[in-house]
This record gives sequence, C-alpha cells and structure tokens, in this order.
Amino acid sequence: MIEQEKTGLGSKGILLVLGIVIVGYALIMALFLTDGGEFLIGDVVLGVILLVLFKRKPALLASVRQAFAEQRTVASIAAAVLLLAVPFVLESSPYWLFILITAGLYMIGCLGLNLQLGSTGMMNLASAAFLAFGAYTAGLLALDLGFPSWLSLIIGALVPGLFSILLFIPVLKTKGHYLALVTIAFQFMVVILVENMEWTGGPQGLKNIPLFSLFGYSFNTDIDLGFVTLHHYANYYYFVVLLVALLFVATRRIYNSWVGVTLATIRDDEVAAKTNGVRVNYWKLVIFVLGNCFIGLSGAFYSHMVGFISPPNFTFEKSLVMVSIVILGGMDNILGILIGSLLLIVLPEKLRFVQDYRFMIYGLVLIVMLIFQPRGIIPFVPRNYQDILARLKPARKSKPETTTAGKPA
Amino acid sequence: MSFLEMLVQQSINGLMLGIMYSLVAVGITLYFGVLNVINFSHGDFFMLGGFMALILYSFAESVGLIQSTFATVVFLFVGSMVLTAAVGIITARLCVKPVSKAPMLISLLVTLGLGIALREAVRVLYPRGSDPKGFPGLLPQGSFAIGDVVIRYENVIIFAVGVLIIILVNFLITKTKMGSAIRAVAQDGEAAMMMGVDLDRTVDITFFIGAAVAAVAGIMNGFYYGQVMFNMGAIAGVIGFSAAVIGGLGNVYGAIVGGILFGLLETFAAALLPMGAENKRVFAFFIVILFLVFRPTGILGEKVYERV
Repeated sequence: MIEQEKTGLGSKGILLVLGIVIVGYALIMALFLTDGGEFLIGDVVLGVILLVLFKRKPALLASVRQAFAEQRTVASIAAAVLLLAVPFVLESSPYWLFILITAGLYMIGCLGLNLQLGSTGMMNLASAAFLAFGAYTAGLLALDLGFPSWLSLIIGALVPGLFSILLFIPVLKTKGHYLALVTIAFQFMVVILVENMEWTGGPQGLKNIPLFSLFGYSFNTDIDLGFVTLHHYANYYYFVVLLVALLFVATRRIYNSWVGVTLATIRDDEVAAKTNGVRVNYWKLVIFVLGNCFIGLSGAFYSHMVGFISPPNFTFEKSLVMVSIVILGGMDNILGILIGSLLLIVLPEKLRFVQDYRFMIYGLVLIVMLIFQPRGIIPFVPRNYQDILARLKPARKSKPETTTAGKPA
Repeated sequence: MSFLEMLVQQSINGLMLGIMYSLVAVGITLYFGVLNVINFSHGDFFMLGGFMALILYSFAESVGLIQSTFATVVFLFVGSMVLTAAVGIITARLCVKPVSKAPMLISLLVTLGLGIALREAVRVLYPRGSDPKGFPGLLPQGSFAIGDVVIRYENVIIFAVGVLIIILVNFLITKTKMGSAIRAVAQDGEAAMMMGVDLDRTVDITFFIGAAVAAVAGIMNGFYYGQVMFNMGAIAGVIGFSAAVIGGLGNVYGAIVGGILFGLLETFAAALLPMGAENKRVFAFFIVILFLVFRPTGILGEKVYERV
C-alpha cells in the first residue's frame, strides 16, 4: 500500500484497470452478439486510434502499464471472472464460442512458436506441419488403437517434439534465408506425404475421431445449470482456457527466469552468447522440442474437438498465420501473443460479410501492419528486474545485496 | 524401351520442367542481389503471367485480332511480360522496397502476404477464378520419335523460348549499362550510389526483368500443362527459391543450374522411386534440405565468413 501511494495512482489505478478490462470485454462481446459490421468498424477504428495515440504519447501507455503492474491481482481476478462468464454471455451463439476456442488453440501453438521465434530467434515456418503431427498422432491413436482421449492428447503433444529432433540438425546448420527454406521445404514435405499415405486417410483425412472426454465425462454433453443450458462447446472452452492459463503462466516464468535471459542472449548475439559460455545448441534443441510440443498439443486437441482432420487444415498458410500472430503480437511478448491470436482468428471470421475478399484483405492488412508497425501491436518492453526483485524481497531478506548485484546489464 | 532410352526421355522431361524453374529462380536471385530480400510473391508473378496471357487471349479473340497463330503467341508473350512486369514494379515500390532494410522475418512475411493478396485477387476478380483454367493450345501439336524417345514439337518450342530468354537475360546483365548497374548494386549498394547509379531505377529494372521472366515461365507452364490455376504460384515460388538456393543466392548462373537440377530431380524421382509420381516433390525437397546441411551456400555460392 505504501508503494502505491508513492507512485500516486492508488485507487485511481484500480478504476483505470477495471475500466479498461470491462470496456474492452464489452466491446469484444458486442462484436460477437451483433450481426452487422457496425461494432466491427467501431472496434477497429477505436483500436487504430489507440495505437496512434500510444505511439504519439508513450507516457500514456506507460501509465496504463504501470496501473496494470500495480493492480495485478485486481486485473487477474477481473479477467478470470469475465473469461469464465463468456459461455453465459454467448449462450445463444455457440458459433462464436467455437471461434474463441479456435483462437485459444492458436494461442497455445503460438506460445510455443514464440519460444522459438520470439525468445530464441529460431525461425520455424513449419509450425503447421507440427500441428499435423500432433493432430494425426492423437487421431490415429484414438481411432485405430482405442486410446482414451486424454492419453492420446498427451502423446499427441509429445510426438511432434520427437519429430522435431529429426529436423533439428538442418535447423542448427543453416541460418537466415537458408533456414527459412529448410522449414518451408519440411512443411511442404509433410503435407504432401500426409496427402499421399494410405494410413493417414489420404486427401479425405481422418473422420469420426472420438471427441474429448475426461474421467468418463464426455465433452459432448450440454451443461444444464437449471436456469440456463450451456452449449457443449462450453466444456471445450473451459478446458482450453485452463490450458492457455497454465501455459501462459509457464511461459511467463520461463521468460522471467534466467532461462529467458539465456535465450535472449542467443537471440541477440549468438557468437557473443557462445563466447560467454552459453550452451547455444543445447538450449536451441530444448526450445525447439518444447515449442513444437506446445504446437502439437494444440493440434491434438483440435482433432479431439472437431473429430475430423484433413491435409488442407495443415497447409503452409496455417504456418504463416501462426508466424504473423507472433510478429504482430510482438516478438517475445506473451500477452501480445494472446491479443494477436484473438485479432487474427476472430477478425477474419467477422469479415465474412465481405465474403470472398476476406483473404485478400487479410494479405493486405498483414502488409500494411508489418510496414507501419513492424515491432508488433504492443511495443516491446525490456524485462524489469526491479519489480521482480521487489516482489521477491520479503522471501530473500537474508541476502539482499547479492540479488541486486546479480542484475544483468 | 531400353534403360538408356528411358534415361534420355526422363532427362528431356526434366529439362522441360527445369527450364521453367530456372526462369522463376532467376528473378528470385536477382532481387536478392539488389535488395537483399527474398521475394516470396515471385511465384505469383509466375501465376500472373499465365493469367495475363489468358486475359490477353480472350481480349484478342473478342476484338478479332487473331490472324496468325505465330503473331498471337508472340503477342501473348510480350503483352503478358509487360503487364506482369508492371505489376512487379508497382508491388516492388509499395511493398518490397520499404521492408528491404527491415529484419529478414518482416520482409519474408510482407512478401508472403503480398503473394496471398495477388493470388486471392486473381481468384476473386477472374470469372470463376477458383477453378483450373484451360489454356489455349496454340503451339503445334504432334511429336516425332528418335528410337523410342518421343519428343513433342510443343516441348521443343517451349525449350527454345526458355533458352532464348536465358541468353537474353545473360546479355542484359553482362553486356548492358543497366546490367552493370544491377551487378554494382548487388556488390555494394552504397558504393554504387556514390558512383552515380540510380538505386530506385535499378530496383525497378530488376523487378521488371524478374517479373517478365517469371511471366514467360508462367505462359510456358500454361502451354505445357494446358491449364493454369490461381494457386500454382505458391509452390512455384518455393521451388524457385530452392533452385536459387541450390545454385547459390545472388548468382544468376547458379539459379539456372539449380532450376534444371530441381527439374531433373523431380522427374527422376517420379520415374524411379516407388510411389514416386505423387511424392516426387517430397524427395526433391528432402534433397534440398540435405544439400543445405552439407553445402549451406549453394553450388556456385561463395564462402561466407561471419564477422564478429
């Protein structure tokens, strides 16, 4: 409390945080609940105005950031309550709930891709191929061998990690444009192979994959609460929210730990990192495998949610979407990834009223965004160890001097 | 058919494909030299070339311009080259040049986005653009045989045009003033500007040449397969990039060699491997990846030292 008074935001900060969270939430939900394009245009205009405003007046953005940093608990609780309420708000439009779940799956995959691309600087344009590994592993295990879906979900997440070891030597040996080519070539290879193999179902793909169930509870049952009946997508929604929250916390901890700093040194200057004793190849392998496991988890859950997968689900365009989410969200910016997934997955669906033109618009928006805002929607902020140390201080009272001295330059 | 004849036949087929890939790869390698950017939308210039020729053909047909087949074919080639090159210059100025100094990932995504936009524009704006479009069979049909090796007249013409274009590009690059400007910028952009080379103009010319050459490949592809499709540029761009990389990025001869190698690789994989016909590209890409592991800068690429 003393610290809050010192910075001078205090209860004003709580109001600001709650106001931003609730207004943002209301605007997004209004987008889902209305048919026309009014709210879409309104939201987009508002977003652009905010972007420009923040770019012109960085102090404003800084104070918003500060308010959120100070009121972490309030912001998290508000966000959690609002997130849990989503299925109730969207009770009459399960389609949008489904789109939100899809966005959640992209978040899972992109958090993994961000570990590779954003944190470590390893290019991976084959993320859709690893999605396919996850999805097909889970689907085939459940279909042909009758694995329970929770088990095939776990194995489906692990197998892409194993396959990424196959690709790792080429990834390690090449750089820049050549690395891009290696991953693109791998992506095309996987899709062509999946299309031509018999046991993957060929171009028809896999049908009737068992839907997800946990401890005998099938996720395909509607939730009847007496006063309201939630569509069965609500099950998937809550599960995906849980997964995203877990991975969000996990990746944030990686980011804030010494591992995150190690990865950043590899990204910023590999040679310098190596000369300072960082095991570059070891960390690259760990992150490549871990990231692809995240991506595989996303694919595995997708196959258990939709029950049908086929090669067109895993084309190069999917990889592009995931990479653009990471870049637009802001490399190595975990919260930005979540916002980027929402934007890039929900907006094209909302753009259905422009019908055929939406992919063209998508391409053009991508170009414009990257030319004018290449560092992402939310600008990158360096790690703030003062805050972390301040929070850790009560626990480490015995050796206060050494912790501050260990602050990286 | 003896093994030798099979070998010759497959080599001819591979050369046909290879010369098209070479023409695509030339553009990619030229842009890389001048702007240090891999233009992933280049495959869509290839696709545009085919569609521009289709549009010009139906235009000529409706106006009643078609007198002789030869004149029509020349008209299609020249018209499509000019139109595609114009698109190339416009997109270069609007999208590619602004990101040439940006990190590689940004330029990569911008050009990929540009490719999506071009592809979708064709799909939406061309009548029933989602379907494969039949290409007029203007070249003389029929074939002749040497032993058991069958050679179609069409292929001879396509191959001759390809070789002609390669010679022309080579002449432009090595013998003319704008060619030396391109080479100078590729070697050192700033030094070239100090010597009075107009960088913007050089970039325009490079994109003009690259897109026009890709358009030729697109038309050749149309004649060869008898159809064009809005999404054929995506894979063509990746193959062109692979070919340019195999040959060594920035090296025009390397791109030509790389393209022909890729074509041969594909046809021989299709002919010799079990399930090769469907998986020929899997094999070709696999070789590309292997190649990059052992020879990361290409056949004709220079040795690169990293400065620390």
